[in-house]
This record gives sequence, C-alpha cells and structure tokens, in this order.
Amino acid sequence: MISRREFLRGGAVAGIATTLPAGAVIAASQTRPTVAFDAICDTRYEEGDQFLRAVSSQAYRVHGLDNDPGSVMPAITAAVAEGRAITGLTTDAALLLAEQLAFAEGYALTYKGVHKHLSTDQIEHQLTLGQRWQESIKPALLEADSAWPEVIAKLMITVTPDTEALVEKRLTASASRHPESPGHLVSWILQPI
Amino acid sequence: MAAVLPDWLSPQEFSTAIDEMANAIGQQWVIHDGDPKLRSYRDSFSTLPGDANVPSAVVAPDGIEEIQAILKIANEHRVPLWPISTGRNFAYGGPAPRMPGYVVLDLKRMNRILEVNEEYAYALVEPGVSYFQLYEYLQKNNIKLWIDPAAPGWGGIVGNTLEHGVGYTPYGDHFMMHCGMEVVLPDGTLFRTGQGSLPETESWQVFQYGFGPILDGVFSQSNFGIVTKMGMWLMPEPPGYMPFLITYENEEDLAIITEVVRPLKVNMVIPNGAFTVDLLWDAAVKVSKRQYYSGKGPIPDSARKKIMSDYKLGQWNFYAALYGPPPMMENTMQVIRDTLGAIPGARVWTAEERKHDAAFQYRSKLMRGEPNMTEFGLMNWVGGGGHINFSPISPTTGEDAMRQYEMIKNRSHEYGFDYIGEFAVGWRDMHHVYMLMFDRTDDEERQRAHELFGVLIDEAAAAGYGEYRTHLAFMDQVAKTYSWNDHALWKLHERLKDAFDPNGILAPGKQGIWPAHMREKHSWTS
Repeated sequence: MISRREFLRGGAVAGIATTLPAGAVIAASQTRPTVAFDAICDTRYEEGDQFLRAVSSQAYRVHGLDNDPGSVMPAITAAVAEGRAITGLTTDAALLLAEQLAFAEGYALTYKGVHKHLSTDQIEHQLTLGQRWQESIKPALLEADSAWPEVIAKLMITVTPDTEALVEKRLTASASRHPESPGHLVSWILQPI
Repeated sequence: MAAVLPDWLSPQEFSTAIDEMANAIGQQWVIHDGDPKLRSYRDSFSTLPGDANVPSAVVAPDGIEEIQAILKIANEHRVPLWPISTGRNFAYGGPAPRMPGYVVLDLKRMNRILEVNEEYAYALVEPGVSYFQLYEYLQKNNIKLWIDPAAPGWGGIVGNTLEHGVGYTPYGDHFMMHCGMEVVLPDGTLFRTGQGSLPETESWQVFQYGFGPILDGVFSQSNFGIVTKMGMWLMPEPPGYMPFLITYENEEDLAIITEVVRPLKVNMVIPNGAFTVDLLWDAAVKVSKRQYYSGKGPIPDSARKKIMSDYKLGQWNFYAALYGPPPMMENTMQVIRDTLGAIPGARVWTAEERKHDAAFQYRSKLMRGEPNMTEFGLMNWVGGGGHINFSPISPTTGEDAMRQYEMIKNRSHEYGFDYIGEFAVGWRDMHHVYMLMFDRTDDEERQRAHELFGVLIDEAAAAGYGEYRTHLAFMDQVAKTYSWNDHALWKLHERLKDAFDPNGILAPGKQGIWPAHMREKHSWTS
C-alpha cells in the first residue's frame, strides 16, 4: 500500500479526502477558491502534514517536499506552465527556489507568513497580506495553538491578496512546538500577475 | 516604476537602445519598463538591501549574430551590459549586475549541448546549459560519462567554470578541465582559443593549447569578452565507487587532519575534490538552529555537542571518495584507515552506514557527478535566506587551516553569527568557504553581516590570504588586496579593458575592473 507521504511526493491530483479533525480551528470561510492553485508543503514535519490536510481537498494538485529543497522545482515548473497559483508551507530554502523560478515567469509573491517559534510554547507569526485579512485571521491564530498551519491553510484558500494593499503585522501566540519541528517555516502564495 | 539608469545614459537614449535591441532579437526577448520578470534578476540573498542592483532591462539573444547586434547597439549608445549564463551564482551575486541600471545579457536561450564525445570524454556546450541538463542528457542517452557539478545543480557549466568554481569528483577543478572556448569581444570580433582557431581541426576539445599565447584565462572572472561555447572534459564512469566519511571529535583536530590529507592529495591517493566540513554545515542540511537554540548569537557549545550526538557527526567531517576496480579501492581504503582513520577519536563511516543521512547522501551524489540541490537546505539554519560566501585560499597546512578557522570563527562570533564553513582540499591548496548566514528580513542583522564581511577581507589579506571569488558588493575591496607592486596586476587589467572594450560596455566593475569612463568615480588603482 502506498503511504500518504509517498502519495504526496508523487504529486497527487486534488480530491483526496481531508483528514482535518472535527472541530479544528478554521479562520476563514469555506468559500471555494476563485483561482486554481497547487499546494506545496514539507512533509518531513507535522506542520506540513497539517497544512496539506487542510488544503488537499481544494487544491488542483498537492506536492510534498523532502530533504532536497530542489524537490520544489518540478512542482513550480508544472504549476507555472499552466498558469496556476501556488500556495505553500515550507522552509525558507524551498520558497527561495520557488520564487526564483516563478518570478522569471511573471509571478509575484502576494502573501507571505513567517512562523518562528520563540520558545517551545510560543510562536511569532509575521504576516504580510491585506489589512482585512489580518483582522480576520488574528483571533483564530491566537486560539489555534499547534493547529496554526490549518488556520493559515484555510486563510490561503480564501484570501484574495492581489486586490489589497499588503501590510506586515506580527502576532505572538501560544503554540506547542512539535518535537521534530524546524521552528521556522514560511507560508506563501505565488500568483501570476 | 522608472528604471534606474547609469548617470551618463538619458531615458531617451536608453529607450532608443532598448527599441533597437528588441528589433534585433525580437520584442519577446526583451524585459524592461518595470516588467515583474525583472524581479528574478535580483540577488535575493545578499547583504545589500532588497532592491539593490536591479537591472534596467534584460535582453536574451540566441546565437552569435544576435549577440553581435546587441553589442553594436550597446557600443553606439554606451549601454552597460551584464552577461549571465544561467544566473545562479548565488552567494556571489546571482544574476544581479554589479551596479543598478545595467542591462542583463541573459544567455539562457543558448542552452544547446553541441557535442558529447564518449570516446574522448568531453562535451561542447553553450553557456545556458545547466549541470542538471547535461546530466539528464548523458543519462537519457546512456553515455557512460560523469559530469562534475557545483553543489546546486541548477548552475551553469560555462558560468561556474569561468568563475573558477570547484566540484567534488576527480575533475573538481573546473577551469583546469575546460578545453577550448569560443569568444565574442565587445567590438563583435568572434574567435576560438587553442586548437579551435585551426579551421580543419579535430582537436579543439582534446588539447588545451594552440600556437602562441594561451588566452582562455583572460576571459575568466573578467569583463573582456562573452564566452559563447566551451569544451569540458568529462570523467569516464569508473568500474567502482567508494565514498566515505571520517568524523573527528575536536575542533583542534583540523590541524592534524589537514597535515595528513596533504600528502594523500599531492600523491593522488585521494583523487577527488575532498572536503573537511564543519559540524554546522553538515547539520544545517538536516536541522535548523531553532531546534537546538532559540537565543541570540552563535549557537553554544552545549548545543553543538547535542547535535554531534544526535546525528553522529564530528566537529569536523572529512568527505572523499575512491574510484576504480574494487580491489584497488580496498587497498587504498586501508591506507586511508591507517592515516586519516588513525587520528585519535576518528571514526570511518561507509556509505552503507550513512545511507539514511541526508548530508552524506547529497555529498555522495556530488562525488559521483549527480547534481542535486540539497545543499540549499543550509538556508534554513537561521531562516530569512541571507547568505554570502567568504572564500580565502591557503596552502594545505594544518597551521594555515587553524589560523583561518580561528580568525573567521572568532570574528563571526564577535558579530553574533555562527561559523559555518568547509575546506575544499585541492591538490596543493585549500579553498576555505565560510558561509555567512543571516536573516535577510532583519535589516540590522543584514547590515551587521555586511560589516563583518568587509572586516574579514582586510584581516585575511593582512594575514596573506586572498579570496578566489567574491560577491558583487565586495569586488573592489577584494581586488584592492591584490596589491603587489602598487597594484600592478589590476593596472594591467585596466589596460586590457581599454584595449578590448574602449567604450566600457561589458560588465563594468566586474572583479574591480572599471572601464576608463567610470574609472575616475570608481577605480582605486590610480
């Protein structure tokens, strides 16, 4: 039987059942996304798995990354070739590679979140997106604890960042850190403009 | 947003030049006027502010005639051009030009593999060919030759070779392994080096020299011409391959490791580009700093010990490989065990024992010519993506290794950064690569990194160590350290620049070589 991680690494077509636990904290509405998007995450970490569970039912395609951040490159190339938006919860290295490839095709970074654990039970979210969305997500992130990747995922599905002036805000919240967590991840949306 | 232009170029003149270039190569191959694609020509990792060194435009010619047309227009309007091959020279500037407002001459469309000769083991390629591309070509066509990739496999073969890059197989000195160039001078003159200038030759890629002076070096790390074709020798696939790792427990072991490695390298017992790698460089491929330390400043020794224990790493980790028939490799491996493996506290690891270790796996791939991007994972150590490489050269001696290590480590700790470094051991020299990692989203930290880098250049030079390559922002400062006999070498470079490129249109300022019309403002040689 193929494991879920193996399945994701192969680039699964959207439609797999979400395993988002009942009662999970969800920030934004369940409105379907207005543009087709691919979702990318680092499946080495629990945060990445949470993120994918939350977006997989709505993404056109989902991709898992491994130790080689270069594994993001075929995923970006495929999405860009068909003009789809791309969302991710990854390490910095994967985002930097993704940006380099996507910018060359006229994409822009329309949302970015930096998620840094300040200690084992506290996290700082540094979000760059429209003011309206900042207000929307704040209460959910404050209550999310370690489920923050799902909150971010739900935001990214519904956000329409290209219509808003981007502002940067920092928010510190309680959040238990997973033992294997890198303690520093970035969430992002790359869109053709 | 209006493009930043060089101060001698009016917006009207620039616009006219760009229109003429578009006519020459096709509008679709010209990017300008605030096109968002220009963003991909920034250096996203440097110690400079976010939008430093943004080009005014990008032109992407395909072929010699189009390059000559661009050069003609640039000469007429005095438009500075910045040639790039694949533009992946990150940690040293990437695709960004030396100054804002230059027009990037992107050779990405010239990405043809023109010939691969399996019998004589060489390839002839254009500048846009990446390591990944040539590797895939060889695999697809079942050609039993190995490439020697740079650590990030998306880099270009020609660009890396011209920048004096080094690799990991026995063919690790890339410039030494090139054979024959085709070059276009700023005035459009096209010529070939070595045997390539003999019209009926069959020897262009098998013999490096011709008749008369050897000019190839003049076009490496320079701004005298545009290399449009290059031959590269490739390594025949050996009958056996044996990568290994030796871990060492103590920082001061670097001295004895280096002393023992020298005769093994000079006598070619270890045939490949070997590396003595610091703990954090290896660890950073797999873990982030925050997993061990959330405080400010360099990671404490207690955390280093924990990383060593968790990942079975040493304070120093020596990587190399053997190649050939298995009985020969076994014999040589015994020599390795009796020498490097006999240093107190050393542990020799085989590929089988490290098969689940991401750091060993990516180095094992590199040492057999398989490109990958795993080393980019170092960017996750502190987050924020900033990195810039400080790369001084020294003889392969324990004294020099320790002197450089202590000097750089102490300064980086003083400035609040971790020491993350490795020594690439060549035949007789070492390239010490210190990767200065910083959070580029933190302006104060970025500026602190910039200041540290400048201090390191001067301190290293005072101790007799020069950089073999550097970031755009520090080219003048490094060039200035090569000052023997009142900067005689750089004054000669300037005379060559004036002769090859009298209008000063090609990569002004690269390696601290400025054309006459910019010399008054920028040059430090007079």
